[in-house]
Amino acid sequence: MIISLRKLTYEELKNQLSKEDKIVVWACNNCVKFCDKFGGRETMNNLAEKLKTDGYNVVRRELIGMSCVLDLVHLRAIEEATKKTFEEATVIIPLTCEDGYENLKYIFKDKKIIDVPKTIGLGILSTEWHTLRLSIPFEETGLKPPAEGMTLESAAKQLGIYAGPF
Amino acid sequence: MKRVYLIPNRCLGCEECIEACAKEHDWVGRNYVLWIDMVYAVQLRCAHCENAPCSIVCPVEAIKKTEEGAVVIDENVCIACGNCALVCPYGIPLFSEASKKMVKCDQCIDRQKEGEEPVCVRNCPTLALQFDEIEEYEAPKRERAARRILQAGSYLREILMPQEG
Repeated sequence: MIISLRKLTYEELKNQLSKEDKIVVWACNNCVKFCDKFGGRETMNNLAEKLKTDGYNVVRRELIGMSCVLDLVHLRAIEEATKKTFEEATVIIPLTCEDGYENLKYIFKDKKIIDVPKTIGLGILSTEWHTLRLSIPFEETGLKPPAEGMTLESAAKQLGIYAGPF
Repeated sequence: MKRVYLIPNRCLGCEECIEACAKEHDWVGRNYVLWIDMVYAVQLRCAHCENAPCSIVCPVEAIKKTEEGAVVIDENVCIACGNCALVCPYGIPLFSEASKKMVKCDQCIDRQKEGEEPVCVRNCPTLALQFDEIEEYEAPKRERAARRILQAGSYLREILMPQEG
């Protein structure tokens, strides 16, 4: 599975939003759910609630099975149930990997897609940990995980970014 | 009769089926994804049983089998007593806070009438959900089993003389 971390803190995220924005919190529910819960339903709901409490206009929480599948992203833009909301939205916060982020930019060209995720490699999942560990990092990261994999917290610390939910 | 079948080792638990179902049916998803040992995902939905226990116990006969074979709840008749949830062996029917009725998968009969497959099947990104006659679902399994038996026979022929085997 893909390992994705977070480039922004919650405060940095808020700096990119305005109170007039119509915000969609968009969460992938596959790999990133296991990236210390960076994505998934629970994280999506928590972030949406947090933003609402801080006075932002969250118009939709969109959970998607896989944001890396372009067709599924495209469906959101055209199907009756969500089309209008997405037409009106101005900002999308992607809790996805970088593939998901790129797909969102491609499909929703007129929206501001916040640059949140940083994909750093591939990971392994076990019934013991219940979360992913980095096992095959991308070369550019310079990370060297041990055979049993590296925790995402440790990887994020070394890269100067963040792991897990906002 | 066509039913939705799960190919378990393809399911990644992404819940796209639940989201698609919710959008199709007044924002109430009518299927489930369960996690076993927090790593293995299993999608569950109404099996549209032949002698559906839910339809047998419904005191107001709100649950009927359609011509297409789907077991459906007539929400105009349902009194939300929950008897269907009590007897369903899969634990599928759920109480909708929005409609104050019991709801469950209707196998997208409206979509089927337009020649489309159920929305959970259409949206499943890994093709873990299949909408097939039971024969179409089982035939490839039989073929795989037959191939394994054939391979086992080939292996035996290597170690046994024909007259011995």
